[in-house]
Amino acid sequence: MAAGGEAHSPLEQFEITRLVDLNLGGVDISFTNSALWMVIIVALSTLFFVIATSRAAIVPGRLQSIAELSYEFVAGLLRDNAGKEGMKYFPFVFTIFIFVLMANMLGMVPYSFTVTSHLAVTATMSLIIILGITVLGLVKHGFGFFHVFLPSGVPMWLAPLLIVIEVISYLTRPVSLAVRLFANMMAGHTTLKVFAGFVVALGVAGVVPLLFVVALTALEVLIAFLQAYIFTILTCIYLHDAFHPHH
Amino acid sequence: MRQIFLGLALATAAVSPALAEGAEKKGLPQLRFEDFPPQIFWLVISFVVLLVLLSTLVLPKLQGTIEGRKAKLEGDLATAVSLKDEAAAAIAAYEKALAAARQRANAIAAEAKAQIEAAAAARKAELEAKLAEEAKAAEVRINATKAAALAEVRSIALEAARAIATKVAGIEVDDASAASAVDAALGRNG
Amino acid sequence: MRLGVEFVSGFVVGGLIGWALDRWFGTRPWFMVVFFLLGAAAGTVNLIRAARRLQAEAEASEEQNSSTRG
Repeated sequence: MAAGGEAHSPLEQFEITRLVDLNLGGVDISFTNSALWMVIIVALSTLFFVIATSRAAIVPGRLQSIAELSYEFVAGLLRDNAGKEGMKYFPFVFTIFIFVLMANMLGMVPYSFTVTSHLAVTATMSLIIILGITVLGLVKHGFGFFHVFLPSGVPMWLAPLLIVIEVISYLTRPVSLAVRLFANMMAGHTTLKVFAGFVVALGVAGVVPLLFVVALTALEVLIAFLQAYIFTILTCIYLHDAFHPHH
Repeated sequence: MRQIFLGLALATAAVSPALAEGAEKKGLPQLRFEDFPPQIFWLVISFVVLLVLLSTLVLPKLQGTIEGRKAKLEGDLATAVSLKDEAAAAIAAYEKALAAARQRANAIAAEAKAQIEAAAAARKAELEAKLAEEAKAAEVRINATKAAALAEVRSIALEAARAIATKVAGIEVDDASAASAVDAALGRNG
Repeated sequence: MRLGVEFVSGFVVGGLIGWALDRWFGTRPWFMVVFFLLGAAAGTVNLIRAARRLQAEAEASEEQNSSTRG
């Protein structure tokens, strides 16, 4: 691997390094570089939105427009996919979108760390989302929520098989949600790093891969947004099941 | 294409232990499970903090602004609609007034015309009556003159007939026979 | 990528459940084989649903375009 010829492996950017060792009741809760970037995400997101909404004008400025656009964007996603009942969970869904988008975008910054390129993070988020939605559905519909697993109008002899398949399908939700985001972020950033390594290794001739890196970076920005969008819209779609278990 | 990149990444991960530059860590950093607890812990903390910060500091304000704008737009729209209605009402009132004025003008003109026509008719009738009266009087006069002339003609003829008879025939004709002869002659010719 | 993950995760989940059941009952590899097949079916179901959703989205956006144009 050409990039490996450089001192750094393209996977080094994913290393977790402990900045402050912490321990809570035998559980390792060290403050890592990942945690540092999470704090940066929270700080930057909050700062941006507080500044953007500080002067609430009827005719919005540029920052306020972006803030309102993101609000309307997520609200539209939630309303279209989960219905009116879903709007109650807007703050949660909005936070998911902003957190993932910010993590993906900050990952584009050189020498930064991409929080969402780690399975631990994406799996935790998707598990919490799916578990939360399942609990919500059970609370709302009780036993009726299990209609999710049995499409109506199925012949009796086929029902057991279909129920097993539907249960597996339901269980794939957190897996696909987590793996999609993590794999996309990891693949994108690894590729960028590999080609950036080419640029350095080739010196003057590195102009060609440099152009490629620029194009790739543009593509990665698009994918960073797209993955945040997909993560959010799937959350909305799954949330819909909690309200309407009968497909 | 992305699958290829992912494959590349995984391949690198598989090879990296072999190339390991004195690294004590092996394999994909993402699959080192001893690194999971701190990430999960700080993820939950930071996510909850962001959720609380956004939903207290930002979202109510943003919602207020957006809904305020919507309300203002709707209010402006309603004002515009009511203004339009008012304008339409004003136009209708104006047109009504205009129609009324026109009608009144027409009525006045018609009345004046009727008055003038009535006056003219009266004068005409008066004139005609006067003319008819005069014509009648003239006729009476003509008839009287005619009768007088006729009577005169008879007496002259009578005189002439007696004189002619005396002179030519030497006979004295009495008045009665002369008159009947004249009348007979007049009746034949006249 | 979006559809691929939907499909592959069916296999992964099916395989994991089979593996766990085999460990539980000591029936290696039968549950693994059965659940791998069931996982494939679930992956296919996921795939069909995702494709249908994508199509519905595409149609919706197309409709929106045509309605704004018309």
